[in-house]
Amino acid sequence: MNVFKGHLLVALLIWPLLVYPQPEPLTFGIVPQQSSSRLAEKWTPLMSYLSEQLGRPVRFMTAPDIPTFEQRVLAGQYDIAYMNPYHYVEFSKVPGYRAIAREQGKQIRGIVVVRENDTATQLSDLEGETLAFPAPTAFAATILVRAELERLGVSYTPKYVSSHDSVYLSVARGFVKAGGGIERTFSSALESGLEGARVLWRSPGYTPHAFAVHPDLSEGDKEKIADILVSLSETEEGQGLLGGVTLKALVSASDSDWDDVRRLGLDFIEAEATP
Amino acid sequence: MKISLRTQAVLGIGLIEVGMLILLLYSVFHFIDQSTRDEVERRAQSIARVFAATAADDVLSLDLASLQSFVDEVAKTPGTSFARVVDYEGHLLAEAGNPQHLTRDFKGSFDAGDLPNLFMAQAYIVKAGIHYGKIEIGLDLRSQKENILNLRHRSLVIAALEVLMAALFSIAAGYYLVRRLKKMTEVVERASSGGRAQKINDAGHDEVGELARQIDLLNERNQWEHSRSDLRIRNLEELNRLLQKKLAEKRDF
Repeated sequence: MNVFKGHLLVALLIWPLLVYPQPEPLTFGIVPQQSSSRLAEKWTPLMSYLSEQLGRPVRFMTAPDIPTFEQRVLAGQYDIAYMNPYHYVEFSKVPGYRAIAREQGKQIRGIVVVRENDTATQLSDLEGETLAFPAPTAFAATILVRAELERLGVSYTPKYVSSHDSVYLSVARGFVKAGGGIERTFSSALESGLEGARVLWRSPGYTPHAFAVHPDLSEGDKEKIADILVSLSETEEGQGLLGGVTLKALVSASDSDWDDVRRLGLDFIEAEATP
Repeated sequence: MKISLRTQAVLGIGLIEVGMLILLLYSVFHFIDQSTRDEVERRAQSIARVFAATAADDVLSLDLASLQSFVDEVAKTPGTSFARVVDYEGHLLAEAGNPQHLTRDFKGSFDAGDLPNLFMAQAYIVKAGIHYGKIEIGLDLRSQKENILNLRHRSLVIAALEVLMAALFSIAAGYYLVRRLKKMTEVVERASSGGRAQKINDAGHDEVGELARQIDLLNERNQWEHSRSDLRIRNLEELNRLLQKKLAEKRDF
């Protein structure tokens, strides 16, 4: 009889585990500025931390290239997404992603990179050359750089090479005269051993990339995720995680933070983005 | 039961030959089998790991078209039966190769006994300790098995030839040795029965030839002794005859 009672107790204890399904994982999409493997290595520790804090699995996701990433964001495939300012401006309209955090005191700048021993000293020296960009709608690396080249009347042939890393490697190995990128990924590439490239030009600064959540995510989840991200810089562990993805402290963000980008006027961007 | 030296030599050499060849062939076949298994496992693991490293970007970015092209190419590699990629939840992302082998459950180690026709290996795509997907590959081992079988047949044929050659040589050597010993026996028997011994005249430069020469010397010495003894007897008989004659003359006188 006692044995029966013991079995019943065990059954009652494990019953909730059997009847309640495991929580659905949250998908966290990262804009593919680098190779997927490298992004996964860098971002997975943060995903693990979020999973621990939320009590729900958070899965790292990315896309093979920026256009595919855009399609997936547009289709609402990611519950949380880390996207560039242009993407945020676009996808805050449809499907309605809501910004929850951004880097504190950081301004995103586009840069133009040339080979270390290149004689170019200004953008006009790139007249008639082939220039590498990660994707047509990469905000800082492509749009800001191309806008400046247009403004200066410099003619060039754009070549899209999928990721920021590919741009830097294409320049360093002499496949193209110059390429567009951003300071964060360029620093990261230099730390990883990139040699033979230097920055030729920097654009003015704009509100940086956005951490945004899908509109279907509950308000409670949205606040919880924002709190975890913003409080990362308060602990040593969190600082380590931010350092791992080459980000500074995060602050809460609101939709209006990207008005500076909206003010740019996206005629040029839309013309390039829509084939 | 009398067993001739020739029979003993043939049986002895034959038994040792067969015993040692069985031991040698067993060791060689066991070594070939084990080294093939180790090599297949090592190769399969290497391919799976290289495949996992190469496919990682496509799995992580869910670039299914690129992944399928890659899997198609891997499955076409000689010796590869199939390739399959699944995500961390076990959902199939891409697969290609032998349709029959693709339906089999994954099994990544050898059973005792013969090599199977198909060997499978897997490797995980892990980033920062998190599992993102899994690669499975199948290696078609039929050509390896065929090569091993050919090697075994060839080794057995060589071993059989070796035993045959050893048997023929030991029969010939036994025949040659026994023929010389037989001749010596005849000569010694004739000498011991008081007959005039013939010389063996063995031209061999081995121990048997040395023995034959010693027997020839012994026979020569015996013959010399024998002739000396005859001469002495003849001399004694002559002396005796003269003595008898002298005694008779004295008596008559």
